[in-house]
Amino acid sequence: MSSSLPGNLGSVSTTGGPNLQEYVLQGTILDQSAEALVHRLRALCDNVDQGLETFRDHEMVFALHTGGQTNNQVMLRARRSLDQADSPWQLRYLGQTDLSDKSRAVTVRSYLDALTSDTLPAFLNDIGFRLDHEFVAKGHMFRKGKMKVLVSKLFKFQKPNDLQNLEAMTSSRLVELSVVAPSGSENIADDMKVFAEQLKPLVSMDKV
Amino acid sequence: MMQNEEMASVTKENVMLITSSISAIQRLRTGVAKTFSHLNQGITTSKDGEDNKKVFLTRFQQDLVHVKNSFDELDSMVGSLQLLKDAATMGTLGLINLDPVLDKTPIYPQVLQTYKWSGKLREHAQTAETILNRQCPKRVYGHIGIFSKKRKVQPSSHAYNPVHVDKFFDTWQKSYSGVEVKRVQQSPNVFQVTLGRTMQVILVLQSFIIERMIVRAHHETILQEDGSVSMACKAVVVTCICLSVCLSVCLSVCLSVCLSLDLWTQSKYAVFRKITDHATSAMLNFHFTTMPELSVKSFMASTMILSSVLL
Amino acid sequence: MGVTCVTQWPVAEGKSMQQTVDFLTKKAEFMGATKTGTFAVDCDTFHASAGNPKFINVLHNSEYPKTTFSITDSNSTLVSDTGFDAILQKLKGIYSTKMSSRIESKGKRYQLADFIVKVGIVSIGSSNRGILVEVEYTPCVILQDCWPLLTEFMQGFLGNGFVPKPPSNLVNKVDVYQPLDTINQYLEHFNQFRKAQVPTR
Repeated sequence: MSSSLPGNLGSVSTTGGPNLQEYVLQGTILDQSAEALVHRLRALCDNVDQGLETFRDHEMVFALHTGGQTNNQVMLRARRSLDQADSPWQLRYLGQTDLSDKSRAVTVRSYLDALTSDTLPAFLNDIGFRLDHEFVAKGHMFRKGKMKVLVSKLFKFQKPNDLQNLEAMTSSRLVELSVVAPSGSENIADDMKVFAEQLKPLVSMDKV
Repeated sequence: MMQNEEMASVTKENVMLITSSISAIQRLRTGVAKTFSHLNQGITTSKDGEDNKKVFLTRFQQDLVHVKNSFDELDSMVGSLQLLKDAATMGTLGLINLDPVLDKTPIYPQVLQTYKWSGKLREHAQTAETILNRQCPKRVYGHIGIFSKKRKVQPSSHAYNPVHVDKFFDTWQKSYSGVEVKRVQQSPNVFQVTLGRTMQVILVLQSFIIERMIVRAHHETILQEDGSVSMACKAVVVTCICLSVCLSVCLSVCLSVCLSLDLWTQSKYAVFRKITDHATSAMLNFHFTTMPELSVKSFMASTMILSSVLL
Repeated sequence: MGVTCVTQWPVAEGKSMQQTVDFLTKKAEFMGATKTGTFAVDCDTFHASAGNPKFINVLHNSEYPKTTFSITDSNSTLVSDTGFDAILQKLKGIYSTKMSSRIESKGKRYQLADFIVKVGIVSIGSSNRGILVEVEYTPCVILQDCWPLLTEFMQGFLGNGFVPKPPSNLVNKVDVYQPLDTINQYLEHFNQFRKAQVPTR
């Protein structure tokens, strides 16, 4: 920043806050047992007094090959809610899984996000990104402290942009336990492991 | 009554049984402790030789018998404890802790909801009471009809049918372009009159009497965040931001809880505050007690002129 | 949020840039405007690497401190929160920018009733390039409804000879005026400043 102006103007173009990381554990559960898991989560989580929180999100994953000899590519994920048409799009960047510490019990990867206008897909296309794949995730969201639990069923499109005819990808659901926190918050992994333990034997959560 | 007496006696018996079981447990524990200490430290005897072994064994046997007796005693006492019938004091609610996970009776969230609502209801009633005490809602012309029955009832402005009001605004909308009138959903007496794409007039009508009027910019909202809830919402938003994704969820929560009708906040723009002043004086100027419909009509006409002049 | 007009202002004959700015701000104060802080609009340009002519202009406006506006060379736009800046950093291998190419307009912000007046000095890196005056009429979001009023105000402020033209891309805009429209005006001026020769003064 070369800003010499007083006041809070220094914040106008600072890039990002602290380095955020996403801590993730994943598992799957068959459709017929999912209800039991939802009941278990209702008992364990915080946000249950207003009824179940459901969501229906459309995610488009864009990729851009950085060229060169190595087949490197950058992925960006654009996600929007289908239930709230006027809500903003969310752009997510997920880094490579951090493999520096093999003993870690959960997946750790760098995480960045931004809320954007609905021009996001067109904009990404314009700057060179191409749609890699897209899907619709439908399910329940639970919160426990800083932890977020998503139980979602994934659908793929039969025809592009046709939200009416969706096809389930599998006969099971994705269970994802995640926390976004500044890097170096190692005790979060332990908390997550303890929580995952409580969901056994319904679902066994593991790192990706 | 019978049931209560029966229950009381059962409870009394149970208390006695539990007290004696506790002492039985203490006896059992001392017995076990003694057995172990004998095993551990041996028994001191004066004689020696083979007798020593024999004495030890008999003593050990005695100890074990003692432990067994104490245990049997405790067992019988526990067995004779009587169960209270279905925790009669709490009715079916008493069973709630036995509810298996998969039981889908919605009673628990319902009870929780009821509790919250009753709390809220009390809070609101209290606030309403203080407000009502402060300002008497009775109107002057209301008294005429009640107290002096001899007099002929004045043609009250309240006598108009709401359908009539709707019809009035309908014809108004049809005869002037750029005017849009709609009843605000939250409250049937509030009308939102949008003039062009620059300003809106919020009218609170009691039939054809204008009770309150405020002018705001086209893009200003007539809903406001409800003070008490908005804090909670902000918290939700903050957590949602922390958690990211699931946009739909946090937004739906915010939209459904926070908004309530705002009839009091002045526009944040000087020009619309000024117009509010002018329109208020127009409203007072055009007030005819006998012809309320005409006063609303004149008021509407004047605001339209105002809007066309100022912008 | 309201309709905004951004215009370049020439440096007066025989005066320095700072003196011209001071003259304008004095005039605003004389009209009854009160100072309400400072402002800054900045623009970074991210160029695609390796011979690709593609670029992204990333702008910030202190009026919307949590927002990032991105406009590509082919006019695709994206309005996002400032988290997008950090994501762009992750594309370093593909799009990169130089600190020295940053162009910004910085100055004081004045308020007069419903008008907001901003007088800023435009600089690229460390060299000053010119003056931009921004006037915003906040109560109105429809350009056609308030452009005459805005013109009248600006003539009172900058002199009768001044006739602000509505930005070409907005003349026929029937939609509500957006913060992005202000940013587009800034970008247009910034591009002109970039192309122009460095003034001798």
